[in-house]
Amino acid sequence: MKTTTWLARLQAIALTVILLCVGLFAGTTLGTLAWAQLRALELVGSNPFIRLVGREASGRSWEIQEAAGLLTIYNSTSGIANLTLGAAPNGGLGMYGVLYSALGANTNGTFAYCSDCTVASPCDSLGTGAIAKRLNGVWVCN
Amino acid sequence: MKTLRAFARGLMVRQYLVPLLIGVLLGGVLAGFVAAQTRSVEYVGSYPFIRLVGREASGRTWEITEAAGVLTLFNSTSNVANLRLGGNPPGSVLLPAVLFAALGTPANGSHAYCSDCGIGGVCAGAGTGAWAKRLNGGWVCN
Repeated sequence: MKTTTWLARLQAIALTVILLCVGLFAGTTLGTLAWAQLRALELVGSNPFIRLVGREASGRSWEIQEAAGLLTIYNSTSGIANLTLGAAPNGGLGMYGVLYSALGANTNGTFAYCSDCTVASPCDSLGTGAIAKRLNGVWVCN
Repeated sequence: MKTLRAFARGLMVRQYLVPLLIGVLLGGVLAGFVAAQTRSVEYVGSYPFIRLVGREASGRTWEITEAAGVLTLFNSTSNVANLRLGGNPPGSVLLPAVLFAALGTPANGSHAYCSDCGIGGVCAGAGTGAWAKRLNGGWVCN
């Protein structure tokens, strides 16, 4: 008789624990789903960021990060801050400095801040900087 | 008999429903807490992306996607990759090609890669490509 009572109690406790776990799982899933369906995502803290890690090949990682009032789109793979917004002047756009020798042959429509280019067409080195635009297969810096 | 059934029902509620509900509640609170405390989010996988779907009118969708090391701001509505970062040279920005006829009248400060504009003071078609800047209500392609 005693054994039966103990068994029944044990069964009840086990059942309660199982149900609690099931409930916890369901609650977490529901909560996460609800969060995923939200209209806004707010990341709060020191230097909050969103990271996109591409697994189709190794080390393809990007971050959209906030730090000291600046919004930066950062290429974690190359360690380059590709684009920075929010620096003075307000509304300006900051770009990473590329050397003339690294400009290469690229798709028309590409533009870069060439830190040692001259203001001329086509671009040339030994200057103090220019915005380089790839137009019709040529880098134009005027 | 009725009393027995009511007793059994009460037992079922206490034994099954209460722990389940407590679990759901705890899980929901946990998910919400974790989400609210998040400083960063990380999306990992092949071609991870963030999608912003505007419901104030139909079909206003943007995606920030990572693919093959390139970060793209993609307008799903117009099917245009508005901005590409991470191509060559590192640090550069690629804009999509826009025809002169499609430049329109956006706000001053806009700029675009006009693939059939000519390099000159005021933008015009029938060229081999120019950098179009919206200044003082006109398109400047010098």
